Amino acid sequence: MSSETHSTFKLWRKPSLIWLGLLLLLAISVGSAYIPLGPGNGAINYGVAVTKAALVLVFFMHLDRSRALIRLAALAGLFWLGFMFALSLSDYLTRDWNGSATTLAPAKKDLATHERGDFPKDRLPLAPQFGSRD
Amino acid sequence: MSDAALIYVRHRDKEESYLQHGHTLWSWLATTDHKRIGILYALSITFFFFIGGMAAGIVRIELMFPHGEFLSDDAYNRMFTLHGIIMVWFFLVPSIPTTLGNFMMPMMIGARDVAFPRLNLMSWYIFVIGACFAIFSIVAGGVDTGWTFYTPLSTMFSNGAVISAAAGVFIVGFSSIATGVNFITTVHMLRAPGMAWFRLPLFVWAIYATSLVMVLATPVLAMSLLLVMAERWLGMPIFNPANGGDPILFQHLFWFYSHPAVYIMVLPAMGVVSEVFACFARRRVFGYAMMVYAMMAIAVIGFFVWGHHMFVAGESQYANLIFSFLSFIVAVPSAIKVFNWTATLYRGQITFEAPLIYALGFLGLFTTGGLTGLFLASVPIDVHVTDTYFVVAHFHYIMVGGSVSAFFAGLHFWWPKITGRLYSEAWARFAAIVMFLGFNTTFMPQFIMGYGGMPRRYHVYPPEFQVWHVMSSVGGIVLFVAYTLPLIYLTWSLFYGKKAGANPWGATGLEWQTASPPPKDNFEALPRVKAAPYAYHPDREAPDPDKREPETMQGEMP
Amino acid sequence: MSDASPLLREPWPSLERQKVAVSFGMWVFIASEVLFFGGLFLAYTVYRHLDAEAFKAAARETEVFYGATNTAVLLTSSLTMAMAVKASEEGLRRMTLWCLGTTAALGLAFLVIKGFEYHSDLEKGLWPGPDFPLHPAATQLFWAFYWIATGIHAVHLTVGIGIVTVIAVQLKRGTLPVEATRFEGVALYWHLVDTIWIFLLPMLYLVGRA
Repeated sequence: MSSETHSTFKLWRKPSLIWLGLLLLLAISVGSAYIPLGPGNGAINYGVAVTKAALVLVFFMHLDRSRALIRLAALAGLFWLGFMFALSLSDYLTRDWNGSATTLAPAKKDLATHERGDFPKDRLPLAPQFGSRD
Repeated sequence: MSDAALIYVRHRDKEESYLQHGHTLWSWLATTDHKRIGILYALSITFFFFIGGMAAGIVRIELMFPHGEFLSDDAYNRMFTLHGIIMVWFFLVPSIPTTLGNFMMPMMIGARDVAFPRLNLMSWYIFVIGACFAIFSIVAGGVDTGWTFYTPLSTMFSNGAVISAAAGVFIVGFSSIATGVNFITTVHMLRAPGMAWFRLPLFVWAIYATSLVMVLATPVLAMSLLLVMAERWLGMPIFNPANGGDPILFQHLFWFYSHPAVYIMVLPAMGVVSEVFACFARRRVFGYAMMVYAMMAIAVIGFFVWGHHMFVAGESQYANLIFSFLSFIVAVPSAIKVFNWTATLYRGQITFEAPLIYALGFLGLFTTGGLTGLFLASVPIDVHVTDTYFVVAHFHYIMVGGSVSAFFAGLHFWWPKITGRLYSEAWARFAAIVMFLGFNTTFMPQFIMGYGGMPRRYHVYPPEFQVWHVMSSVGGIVLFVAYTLPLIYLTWSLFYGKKAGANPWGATGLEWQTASPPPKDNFEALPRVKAAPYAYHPDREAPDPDKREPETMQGEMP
Repeated sequence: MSDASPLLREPWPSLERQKVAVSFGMWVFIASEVLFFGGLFLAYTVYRHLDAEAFKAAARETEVFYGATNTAVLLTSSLTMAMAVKASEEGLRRMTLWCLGTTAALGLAFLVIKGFEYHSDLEKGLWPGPDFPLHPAATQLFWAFYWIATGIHAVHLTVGIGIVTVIAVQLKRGTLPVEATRFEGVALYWHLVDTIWIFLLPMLYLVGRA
């Protein structure tokens, strides 16, 4: 019977170690959130999240012993997510370059009372069919 | 033998086809046979094609007069929205993949069914449930937002049945995803011995590429509609500018799906015409490898261009630049394919059966639509023609002139295989030509008036556009005839058509090496593939004019 | 005559192929789920970029205790789910059952804790609407995201609990053999739900704490 309990223990060993690692990372990210590190907080939090996800993907979801095709399928979703983020952010991160027209209000004011058209009025001439800006 | 390996060699009564395997309604509604599921889908999408077509008919009748004779503004909005939603999600996106793809693809790779047959059936039921929501939204008065559900109209101001329409589309999206997962797994895991990737028929590659797009793009549509439903139903301010929300974010999420969606609609069509051209010109497809790379490139690069729908929406100029450039790039693989199809026909021994007429229609109309897409990809031109009939004509040329023509090509090409009957070739050729003429009459005037400034989604317009609208509506009537004719003669052939043999066209694919209609398990014994596809003549040689048989068949039936 | 034939399903020519296919099919589905939640995460990222101060102000109102506890619960359930698969591969029927049951129970515990958290959030009035207690108005964007993201996650989790319960019951009754190929597929789904939460934790609970 001891060999059976021993083999059960062996079965649990590696996954339990991964689990402990995950809990430790959880503690690190929650704990460090209370330390004022500026942009470092976000970096640590998301870095930890990525690490935890990687542990789950590789060890619990068996990517460590999967064939190349499965790993490719696993990566495909991430890649495509990357494309979606990159190209969408190419819009949002460049919106306030050169006074590009945007319907959005800046973050500083209370938006409930915000007015449209905060961009510089003298920069972009409007085509006549859109009427005058005043 | 290491572990379980079942080799399906069954002694089977040669007469029993998949159609005879069970005659009850339940045997159809509970089937896991991909061929029967393909037919269930075919019935569903045909039903929706006529609903969407009726909406188009009403729109075209209304547009014959410049002052809004029959419909109120609101009713008109609901009519074109109905047309768009039904045609895109309940006809075009499922059309070729779930009907011809479901039926043919497993046979073309030498498999007995798809990877997950029960999931396949569930896909159809999910489609039906989504369809019920869509029908409910129609009965509840319809939606006025356009098929694009733009916010904040859809979330805050519309008086239509937005939530049920969005729910319907949301649900059929999962049908798409399930089908995509199934097909991708099937192509990877169930190819017959000897069926290497570069021996796959181009139709299989097309279905595979389409499935990749379905799986990766559709979820984002699902999320965008979920957010619309959450905002409208629960009051969650996501796209509300008063809360700092950005309506353009909705457009980013929506078009991230909806641009690849148009490739979902066109890639299978490209696969079909590759098969048809090869068979009826008796030629190997020119540049097979490039055709494969081109389809995969379209599938991938198609994900990078969605911002071209938002050039004037308020997107940053720099994003406009990037998306415009990428939109030009995505045209290149499509152009490669057009050249290769043309080269396939060159020095071929062409006979003008109906599938080839439809495929030739595809070739010209897809090219026209695609070229006008390039105009639209150019930001300065797009600023002038966006939201005009130029855009409407552009996408109808590709989706109707292209995809629908190809769908009819495939339907006729594989009709003998699916039903075991031959259709009337004379009527089919006639219908194909009527479709081509009707189509151009309907949509060419739309390019002209769009360029002249006729806005889309307007039913009241300046009188100088009326002549074009009338031309377009007359063309619409011709198209209606062209679409109804196949319904009649194909149905007729089911009962009175001549029985088809296994290979009435003398084509080379594996699907032609089994009976028409096929037995339930597709093949008596699984084939071994020993050749590349399209062996109509020796490689690197023009076909012999005295010989019209294929050089070899693709598979060896044990 | 192979004794694995009850596990073998049409149209698979071999059990090994079927196993890989179940895994592969589930991963392809996971890719679609990544993009589903990815759309939501993009919305979060965009608004976080456009309105960082409002987001920080709004995120301070989430309750870290509940979030962290739930994360621990879900991580543990991933452990038991992974062990269920391992046990099934070794043919250990009782351990498989125990692990599946514990996974489902932990999933339910998550939902219960979430229920308490929702109650607490609603007591503070944190449902977007005209009486929203926080300013500026963009804080409602964060909270809209919170309700939607945790809600959809909870739906996925509930589906997961349902499926795990069903296969546990099938295993108990003997209608599902312990070496069945579907355990791996269900486990992959469960780990996906966990991974989504792993990302929701910093997005919802750890912003603006310092």
